Amino acid sequence: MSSSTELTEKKVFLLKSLDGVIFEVEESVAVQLEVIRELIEGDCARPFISLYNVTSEILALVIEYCKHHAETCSGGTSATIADEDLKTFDNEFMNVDENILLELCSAADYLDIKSLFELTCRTLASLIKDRTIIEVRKMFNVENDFSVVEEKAVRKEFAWAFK
Amino acid sequence: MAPHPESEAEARHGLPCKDKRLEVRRQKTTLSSRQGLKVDSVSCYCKVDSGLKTVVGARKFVPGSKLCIQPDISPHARKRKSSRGERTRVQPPLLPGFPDYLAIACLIRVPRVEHNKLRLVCKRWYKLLAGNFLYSLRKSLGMAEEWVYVIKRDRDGRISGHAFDLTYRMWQPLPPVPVEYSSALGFGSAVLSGCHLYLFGGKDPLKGSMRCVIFYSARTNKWHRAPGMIRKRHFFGSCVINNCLYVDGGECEGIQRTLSSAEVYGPLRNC
Repeated sequence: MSSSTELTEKKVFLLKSLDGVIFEVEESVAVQLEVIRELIEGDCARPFISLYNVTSEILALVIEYCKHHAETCSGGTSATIADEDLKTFDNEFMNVDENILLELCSAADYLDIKSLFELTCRTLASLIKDRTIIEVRKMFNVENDFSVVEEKAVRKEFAWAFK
Repeated sequence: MAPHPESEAEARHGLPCKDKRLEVRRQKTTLSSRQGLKVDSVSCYCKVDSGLKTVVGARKFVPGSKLCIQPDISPHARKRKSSRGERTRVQPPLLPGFPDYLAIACLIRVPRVEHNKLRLVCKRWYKLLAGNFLYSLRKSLGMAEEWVYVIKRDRDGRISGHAFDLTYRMWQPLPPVPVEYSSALGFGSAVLSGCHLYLFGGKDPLKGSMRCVIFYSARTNKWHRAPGMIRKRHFFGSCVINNCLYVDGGECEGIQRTLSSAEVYGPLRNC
């Protein structure tokens, strides 16, 4: 209990990923993770918080995202500049492999970070939008279970969509 | 951990004879201890009780059970049954390795103009996009993208439909209007239930006034027929109130004066 109080006073929390890597985060960053905010408010942030669904690779990215957002919001810059800065950062941040994007989306959902969840979903949706059917299947490893005849029938139904 | 095989079997069977129950227990204990599997509790009545009466009783107790031809207790029977059940019940995921709600969270953010492309990815996606769930979700989250439908007539007098996407400023042709309606004049049009474009009444140059009602469903991308109007009419007035279509007045071939009747169509009651 004493260590917990000490940590709260220092406003630093320890997050343990699925593969056992411990990350140290400041309170301003930690509270962006709704799950952890609840734990902090409930005074349950024990020596460290175990996150069983997030690997260290993804957690590092999530923390980077939250850190940047926390710093920009509290940086004292004007709202418009901060918005621009966040937009640029988000665009660059989303410039990762699709699998990482899916993992990030899943982690954002688990950790309840609304802005990151929205960002990853939007990015994935725009990736789907810009790709052909075959590329979409390949991207998400979805198996094409239509037979040739069935596929032809669906194409015919929506003939104008595939010009 | 799985429940103890004995207690499970006992609970499922409720067998009347104590000795026979013991026999089952013995067999099951041996089986489970030897193979470490849950004992089949569906196909083992005959071993226990060869009297038809009890088997019938047991069948009542466990629906779907049947008489075994071979009275062996098959440890795999139950497993097979459950896997068959799962195959019909559990659908493949929308995105392999991820829960469906995450996949849906991504898919609802794909613009509507791209939806027809998504239908071809796999059967599961096709079903999702042909159903109401995705679109109700988009609507409740304020993501619905409205289309403007335009019905036009070409030089030959044939009507065809187009949809215009306001966000992406793109025109999309609708499938051809059914033949019996394709030359109609003075018909009415309205959108009901959010996704059905209705064309009703009107006058065919050859057949005269019509009571015919058709609608285009944005979900299926097809034209469907709806029950006809009570009266044949064309050049009438119409409006939608509370998702009910009101049709009023107009003309009917063969009748000199304008019609003074009105009728209402409710898409949910389909009448």
